[in-house]
Amino acid sequence: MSAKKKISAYVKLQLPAGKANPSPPVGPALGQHGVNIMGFCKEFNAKSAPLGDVMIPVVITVYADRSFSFVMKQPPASGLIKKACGLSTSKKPGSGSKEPNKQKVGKLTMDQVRTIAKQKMEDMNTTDLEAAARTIAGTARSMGVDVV
Amino acid sequence: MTTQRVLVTAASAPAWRRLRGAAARAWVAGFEERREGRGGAVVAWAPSVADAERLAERLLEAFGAAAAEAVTVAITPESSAWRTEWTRHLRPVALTDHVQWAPVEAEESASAPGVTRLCFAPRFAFGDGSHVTTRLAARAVERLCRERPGLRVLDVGTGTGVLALVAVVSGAGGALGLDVDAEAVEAARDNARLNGLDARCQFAGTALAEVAERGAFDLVVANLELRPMREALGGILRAAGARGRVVLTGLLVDQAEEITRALRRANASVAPPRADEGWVLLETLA
Repeated sequence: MSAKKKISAYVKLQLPAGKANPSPPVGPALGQHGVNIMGFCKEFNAKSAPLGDVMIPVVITVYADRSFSFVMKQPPASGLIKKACGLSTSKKPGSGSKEPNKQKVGKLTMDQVRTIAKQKMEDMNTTDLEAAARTIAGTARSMGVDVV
Repeated sequence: MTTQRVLVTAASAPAWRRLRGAAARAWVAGFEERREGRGGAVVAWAPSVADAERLAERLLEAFGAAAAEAVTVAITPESSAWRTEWTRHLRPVALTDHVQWAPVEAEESASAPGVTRLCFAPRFAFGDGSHVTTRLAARAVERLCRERPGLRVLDVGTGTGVLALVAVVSGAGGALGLDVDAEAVEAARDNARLNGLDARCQFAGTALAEVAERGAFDLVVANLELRPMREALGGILRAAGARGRVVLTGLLVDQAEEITRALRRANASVAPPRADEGWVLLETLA
């Protein structure tokens, strides 16, 4: 897509990798901007399916001529944490702990936390791995996942 | 029923961070994020007010303590414009040198001699001609059908029916299009009628395994994503038998290798892949 094209909107969605379809949220969120909904689903599914069973944040740039381009971000830290400790990523309303300080739902080693931090760094406001790891560890603890 | 929009807003930055996390856990079908000042909103849609209320409840539950003070929920009817707004921007597409694929409401333009105009009613079915894989497949189907008139063609994942229709206007004896999506089957049937081709093009939601008698088709074409392609490949090869040709697309360059290997394992000889804009078309040779 040419950088010179006039931009008419940015739309940010979080979608299950490989599973976009024209029903909500894709349909209403993109359809009202005139984006070709089926075309977006095809592109997004092909590019995100290899990422597995995770939610993918995606930023769609809509141009004045209704063409579009999109950038996928790393899955939210909570999704990566759940995946790393083997918790369901599709259970409703999520499989974190309801009482994170009392009821623990999983464990992560500091190495696993660093791996997630490395993956998330490009989306985080830091270039310091240890600082990123501390943020990830905080997110884990708030979900009832112990960092050992 | 009117689609309902669920908009949940958090005014402060910390509440916004928690809200996004909660939405990622509670709204597993996906949602939209909107930044507003220091906070932001998450948006999802539901088919009824009761469903919308359930979505909101799930989100507040995932948000946890103090949800009532930190966020506000608004449920309002969504305009139905999104179902049709995108269709206004569709334009007729030259699928091949001989076939134009045009939204039924597009104005008839003077088409060059020898060009057949096929019309379609835009629906939520894949194949409006704007995707490069539709054009890649249409060209291959047209070439093969022109080379040997009278072919029996199977189109797996037919969507709007575009490839089946291109096959019959290019000389195929008949085409069967399959799709797991009932809306696509209906759309394809309507499009065949629209073009007066319904006698030669059939469409069904039937499973591939049920129609794929060994060698029942001379040409099998499929424009599918990698996962459904993997699942359909056995049936596709069976339907084509030892003598039928196979045309596959819908794959990205780095996904085509896996399918090429699977074709070779099934003793098919594969033409060098054709790539356009990062997408690939694979074709077996006679």
